Amino acid sequence: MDIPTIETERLILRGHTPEDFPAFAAMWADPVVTRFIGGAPLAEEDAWSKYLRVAGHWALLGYGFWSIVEKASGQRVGEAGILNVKRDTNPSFRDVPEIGWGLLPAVHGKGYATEAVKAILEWAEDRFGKVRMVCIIDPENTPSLRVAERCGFHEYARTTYKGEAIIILERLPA
Amino acid sequence: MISPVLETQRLILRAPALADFPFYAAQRADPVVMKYLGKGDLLSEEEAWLRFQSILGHWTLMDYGTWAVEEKSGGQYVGSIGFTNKMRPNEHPASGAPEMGWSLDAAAHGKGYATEGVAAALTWGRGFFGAGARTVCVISTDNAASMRVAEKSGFRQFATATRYGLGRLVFEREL
Repeated sequence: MDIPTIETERLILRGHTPEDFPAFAAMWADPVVTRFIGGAPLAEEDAWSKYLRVAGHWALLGYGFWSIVEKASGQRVGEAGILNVKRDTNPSFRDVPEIGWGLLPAVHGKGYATEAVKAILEWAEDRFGKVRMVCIIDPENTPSLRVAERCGFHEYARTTYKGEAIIILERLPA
Repeated sequence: MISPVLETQRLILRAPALADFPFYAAQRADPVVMKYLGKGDLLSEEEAWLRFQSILGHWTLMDYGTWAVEEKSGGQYVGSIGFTNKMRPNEHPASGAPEMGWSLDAAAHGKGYATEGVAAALTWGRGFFGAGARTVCVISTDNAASMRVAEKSGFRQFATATRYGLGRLVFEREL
């Protein structure tokens, strides 16, 4: 399917392209990036499988993750999007669209995540209507918890996922 | 791209679809199917879903990939056959060539389906990758049934490898 492009003040959100793979693999091999998402840096072949998954998610469900490009530099600086990955959590949020984001350490602290997530939430409202959405965040990931809060998410559960503590946050339709 | 549909005497090879996922997940949770795949571990539904997405995404990004195999009589989804770029590390003997793989529902074992589907995929691969292009496959050392499929399909063992501490035989052939 054609993945829509979303433009914000400072960012362009677009589908991953085959040329993105080296940047994608480098991002997922960075322990600062994976500290709170996934837990461990990915080897190239594991990054490849994750990268294929992103394309498959769009093809199967009609929504998914975008690459985030910084307008000023033209560089790919991260990714964000909406997932349904059938996570085995308790409480379960199996059929609730989940939003996620990850940015390169070099662009942390600029408000890019908030800018991207707000744009995606608008897109999601067009796609899904006014629905409940969730995200999961490591309790120690204070910057992402702030992003979630600024975007209207509130904590509703603390649990573990794959042995790691997580906070589940939800955003109820306005 | 949309995967091409291949037809053999008893099988249809077509694009995997969302409706196949429950069957795919059930196979990934079946010890008979999983015995020689990966570490031999059964996959949870969540893990199977990740793999299933990758199969779809491979077609989208690479224009080739793994087909869903359907039995003509009855229309049942019975497994998957195709070519994958697994991005194996350079030192792996199977790196750098499209890798064939196949797995079938336990109930569909022993009927010659894998050999029949692999033949159709190889013919397609010859057109897509070019005549004479190399293809490989990696099989667990104790998976006699798949080794027979590889041999019947013209593959020749040329190397060994180890994965998760388990032995693998690496096969190749020209398309």
